[in-house]
Amino acid sequence: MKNLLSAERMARLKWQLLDLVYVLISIILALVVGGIFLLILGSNPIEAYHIMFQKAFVSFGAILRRMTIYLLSGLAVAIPVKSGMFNMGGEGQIAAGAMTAAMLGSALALPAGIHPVVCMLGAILVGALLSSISALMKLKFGSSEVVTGIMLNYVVMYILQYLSMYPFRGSPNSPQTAEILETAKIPRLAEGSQASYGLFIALGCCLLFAFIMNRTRFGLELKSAGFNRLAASYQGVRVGVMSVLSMAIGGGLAAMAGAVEVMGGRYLYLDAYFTNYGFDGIAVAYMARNNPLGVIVTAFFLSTLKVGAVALDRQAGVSVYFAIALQGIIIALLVSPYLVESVFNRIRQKRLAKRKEPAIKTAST
Amino acid sequence: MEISTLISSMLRLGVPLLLAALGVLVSAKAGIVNMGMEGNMLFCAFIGALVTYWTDMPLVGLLAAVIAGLLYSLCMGVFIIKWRGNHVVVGLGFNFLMIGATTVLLKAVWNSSGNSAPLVRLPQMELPWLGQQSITLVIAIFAVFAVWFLLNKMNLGFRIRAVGEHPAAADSVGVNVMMYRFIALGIAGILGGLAGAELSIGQMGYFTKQMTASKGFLAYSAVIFAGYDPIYVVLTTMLLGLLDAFQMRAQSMFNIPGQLLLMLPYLVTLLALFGVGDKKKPKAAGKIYVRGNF
Repeated sequence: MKNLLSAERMARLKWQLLDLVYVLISIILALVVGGIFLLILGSNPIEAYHIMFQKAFVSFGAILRRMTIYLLSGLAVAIPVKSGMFNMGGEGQIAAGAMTAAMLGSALALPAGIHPVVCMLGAILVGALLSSISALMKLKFGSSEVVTGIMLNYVVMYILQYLSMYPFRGSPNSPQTAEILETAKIPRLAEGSQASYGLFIALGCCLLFAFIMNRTRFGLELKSAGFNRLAASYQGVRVGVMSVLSMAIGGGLAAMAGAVEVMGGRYLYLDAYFTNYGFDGIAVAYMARNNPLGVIVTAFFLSTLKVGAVALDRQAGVSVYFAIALQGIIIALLVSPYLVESVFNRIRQKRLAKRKEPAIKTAST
Repeated sequence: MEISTLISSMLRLGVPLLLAALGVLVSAKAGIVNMGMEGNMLFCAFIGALVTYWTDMPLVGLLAAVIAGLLYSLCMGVFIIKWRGNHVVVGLGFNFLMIGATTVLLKAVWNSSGNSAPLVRLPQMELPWLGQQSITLVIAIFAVFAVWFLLNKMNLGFRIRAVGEHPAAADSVGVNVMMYRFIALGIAGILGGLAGAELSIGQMGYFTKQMTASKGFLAYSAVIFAGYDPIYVVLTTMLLGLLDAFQMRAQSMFNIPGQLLLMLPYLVTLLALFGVGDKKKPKAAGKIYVRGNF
């Protein structure tokens, strides 16, 4: 019995290892394609990547600050995917969460300990509501949550632009709100550092969801709704409820990402500042194979890449958007399983053919 | 006069949507959820602009955009059809790739993070009632009938539809599922190429960063509203075009903040999705077909 269990575990471990190799191959492949692209543009790819990763680590605080956002926006995609939903509205949820936190942070007068919590809860509520719209529309009308998510992103973006330009404008020069009060701020890790204690909140969320997904009944039901909806519903899992809940969790986490950046980083809502974080979350989640603990690693990687891209822009004149192009390639490679499978199959067939060849020969003689 | 300018700008805003929607429609009929149309348009808008910038011949730019669209969609097809990728996520990945690549190239070619240099536009026609329209309008009208004819009268169209409804059945009578999906996606790429070129060299006369502004997804929604019918697609895309035209005029007429009007097409699409379910979706849409495994 013990042997059987360990064999099973070994098989699973081997499979996970292969998966990890595949993720690494995808990332390397994307970097190679990106390198060719850089070569066409006329810059030396090795030098460019060197600049990217060297300069990134000079500003380690910036990496951690960005990583805080990515941890949460990555989870915001990873959790709904487990139940078969795709949270495309992260963009809007992050911005809405940020705006909510900025508004609550500047308008309310609360003691220091409670204020950030209230801001955070308000943001989570707004984000969860936004993502639930997509989830409910998918369940009731069958409309793709990707399309509704994108439409919601635009609606939210324009509403927030309006809010930051007219009713809640806090500065005559730029479309931004007033700075939040001292009581609502999350303290920085060190004097002058970019990162705040929000990083630990985000890491805590990763650990919490790793526990929930793997060790609780709720997590199991959520995952079973994603594996096979019909089978899960026969087992008594309320599949629809699970889908909506997972999307609500995703929306709440995304909004938290925005709120943490407002309370621990920027201290105000600035129009068009919170862009692309939601899309980056998709890359973070898929690179981690939607594993909450894996998100910690990939969030760090992507944030290094992004901070490096800023340095590359400054030094070599290659636009920051280079990183987004890389992300696109990585995501597309990661969800196309047959690419590597077919290569493995070919190798296996060759090996089998080699092994069989002498046997066939002896049989024929 | 008022109405004629409104119709004129409706056509101008609706034509790229129409072409893109036709592309989405053809690929959807083959069972492919084409979320990459956004990137398709963006890429082709850029290539059209770039080639026009090099040659000063917008028609060559248009041709280049069409070829670029074909290559783009076939490349996406390799991921989706051959390597069995998730349609939605691969499409989104390609969108990101194109958002990134075009912005990087924009900076590399024109040293700008916003707009390209002004370009020669496609030949424009001065029409009675309809105002100034680029020749893409003619192509779009032709494309509507071509797509209708393809899907309803041609063997190729029937096979494309069979592959989208029941790939296993199609396969069992000798229809090459992979090939017909590639063909459908290729047609979508060509139409998306026309749509993208119309945006950059047809109307604006320059390329702007992320100039498609999710028109690919609006086109996808328009196909859902139209119940996957090429003739109804004309209506739904023109309705979205009219909405956009109205929004632009209203900004100058009424004293409403621009943002609340700008979101109109997206908001209406969202609200319309409340009422219209995606019921007429081809049965095998988004499903990965592996022979002997259905």
